[in-house]
Amino acid sequence: MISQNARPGLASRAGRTSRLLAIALAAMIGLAACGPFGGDDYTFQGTELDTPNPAPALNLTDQTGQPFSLDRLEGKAVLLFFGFTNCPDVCPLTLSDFGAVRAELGDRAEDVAVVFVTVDPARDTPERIAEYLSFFDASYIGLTGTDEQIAAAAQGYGVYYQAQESDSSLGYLVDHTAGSFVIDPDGNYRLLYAYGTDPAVIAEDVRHLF
Amino acid sequence: MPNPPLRTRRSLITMGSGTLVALVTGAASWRALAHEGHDHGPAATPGTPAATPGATPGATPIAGHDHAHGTNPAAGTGVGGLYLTIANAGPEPDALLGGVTDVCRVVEPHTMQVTDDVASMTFAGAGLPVAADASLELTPEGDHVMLVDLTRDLQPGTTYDITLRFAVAGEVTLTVPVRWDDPSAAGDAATAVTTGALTISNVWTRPAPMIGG
Repeated sequence: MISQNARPGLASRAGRTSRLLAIALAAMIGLAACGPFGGDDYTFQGTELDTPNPAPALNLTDQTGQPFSLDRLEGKAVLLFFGFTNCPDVCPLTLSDFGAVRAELGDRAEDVAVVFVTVDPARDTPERIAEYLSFFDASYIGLTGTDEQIAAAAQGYGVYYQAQESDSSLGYLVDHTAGSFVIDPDGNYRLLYAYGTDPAVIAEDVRHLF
Repeated sequence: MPNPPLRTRRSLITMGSGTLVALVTGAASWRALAHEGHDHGPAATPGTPAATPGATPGATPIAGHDHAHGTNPAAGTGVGGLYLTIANAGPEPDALLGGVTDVCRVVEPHTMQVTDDVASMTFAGAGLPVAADASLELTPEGDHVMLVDLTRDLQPGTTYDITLRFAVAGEVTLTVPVRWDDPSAAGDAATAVTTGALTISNVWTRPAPMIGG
């Protein structure tokens, strides 16, 4: 699929040569998109990343205690979110919104996976995540890991998180990126959404990933 | 299992014009992406986010808890959020200090804000202030009353009672519907309750699971 609004990104690691190459490629893509064989000219409503951009690894442990990697979800679109089970607003809302996205997609829903990654691995054991997610949808995948594994996964998606000491009876609360991410069926990291994005908007975008 | 319905949506948050495309090479910066072109203060420098757990404090087990299923005892038994609108018609400021209910062990006033798409929650030790002749709205997008350590699932379609404690108005008992969406947005908010100078309306809680316990 070619996006008409694609333009070269600001690649911090790209050298001069690859930068020129990117501009040339973008020009070619632009021509193709405008031509008679341009294909789907849908404009994504989420923030779009250039492709191909293989999704950063999520080599973690799922809620059944089994090792997880994104290979398991090959061929599916993935709705991805980082949160924690002691989060009363953002996390339940996003997880219920993901349910709404899938409901909007109808028959496509089974081709869309939901993945929740904890940013509180000290407290969110696989068992705890399993119990938490089953309240929303037993098909959701919940991931935890060591501090280092969670840090690596979060960094891959630009997710910020920070435990903050608190006088709450919970002991500490966790600040975290509230947005969500979409991986396309080819395993590319494609779209970002700010917290609170209408599920209908995400569903429409996801429909165009297939 | 509850199946969240499609909800009437609050204002749609959009990022940029939808044309922002960044070449991300495995180290995407959400903050940089989401806020390109914005004026950043020193505390929100775009770039590599500090995606480390930092000094995660060792979680202290909460006394009196007995968890089954091998769950982490320090993690508690799940949380919920209570939302409501408090109108203060009096000349004196008030504050929501806390409360008591049988659906959780601890009721805490919390602030919550989303800045640069990072959600940040704090315990409001002095309570949530309600200024004189003003209203305080507690919503899922902001401050809330946190129900800490649930003693049962908060299932949609059910209700529970809670007694809230205010600095000036004292105690007031409310019946709270558990539902996925904001009652006022859905056009079916319950009748307001008045106590002293305070009128409390649009009371609700989103469904949430008890975990372990």
